[in-house]
Amino acid sequence: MDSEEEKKEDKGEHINLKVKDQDNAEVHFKVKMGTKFKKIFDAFLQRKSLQPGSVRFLFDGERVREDQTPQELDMEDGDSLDVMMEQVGGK
Amino acid sequence: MANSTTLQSWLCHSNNRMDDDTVLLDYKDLVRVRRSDLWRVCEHDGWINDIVMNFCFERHRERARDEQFRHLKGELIDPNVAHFLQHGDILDAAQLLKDLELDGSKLFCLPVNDETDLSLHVGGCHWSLLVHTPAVTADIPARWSHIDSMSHKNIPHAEKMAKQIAKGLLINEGRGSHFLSTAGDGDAGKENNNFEVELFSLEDTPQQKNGHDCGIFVIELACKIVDFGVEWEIDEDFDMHDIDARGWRKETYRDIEFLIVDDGEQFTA
Repeated sequence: MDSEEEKKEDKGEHINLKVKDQDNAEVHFKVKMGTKFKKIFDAFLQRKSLQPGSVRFLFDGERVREDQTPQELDMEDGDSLDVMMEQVGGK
Repeated sequence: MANSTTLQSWLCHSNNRMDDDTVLLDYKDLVRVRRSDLWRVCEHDGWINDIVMNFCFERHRERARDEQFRHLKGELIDPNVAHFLQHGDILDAAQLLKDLELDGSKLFCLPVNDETDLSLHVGGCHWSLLVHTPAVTADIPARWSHIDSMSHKNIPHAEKMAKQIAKGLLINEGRGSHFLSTAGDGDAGKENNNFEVELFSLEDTPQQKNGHDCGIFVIELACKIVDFGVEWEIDEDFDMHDIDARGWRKETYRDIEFLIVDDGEQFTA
């Protein structure tokens, strides 16, 4: 009984987040509501062998900062972050 | 406090400036300017990226907020958002337009980047500007205009962006349900594929004389247009030919330097 209740509580504070690449490849993360996005971003960058700072993460069109948490953005289970490339141009 | 020359060399120079991601300025918690971004600004041939553009737009909005009797007469759309609108799913684009409160009655400016390979994480060669201008009078209907500092290089990209946003706006007006059908055959599919947007590709626009300033033209023109308002295209007082890219680099560098010094944190150690 006890362990079941613990499990329930545990479920409550974790959510599943998708990080969606521009070509729709998804990476899934199970995170706590209070986890800073830095941890998620770093894990994503590592998984994709990317340099820090080379991509931007958007939630509902707003840039997400690494010191924010899913809680601050009122995120829910199953929400997704969009990864956008760094765009440059000269000529 | 360091004098301005040594400050500039400290800010812009490091062994590998292009890759130096040290954050120099966290502007209003909205844009983080890294050393490599500042380098793009102050080097005479630096290519402008989305962060610099994002910073300049945010700065322009902030300045307008600070001045009591001035307000922007249009919206500056950040490059990541424009990119998302162009390449994202049509339903996501429609929802985002709703969230941004953009509809057919608004004047808005969108930077267009030519990168189409979405698997890249850094990409693009050229920026141009797409403008949605609402109807001024019954005689002058709403239109999409394209300003390109390198003849009309970016037209296909601007067309795609305009088309995608026009569809999103129609969906939000409840008139675009046929775009939601993904079927390639049948009437809905046909209508979907045949949807066209008329793009006015402006002639007599300022042209860059080098291979590195297009982003500056986009920033300067977009800010000018939202200052001027919906009549920008038909009012002869609107002049788009006085853009000084070199001057812009100097001024923007100084502005960022000022904000960094003002912020102070970098120099407390």
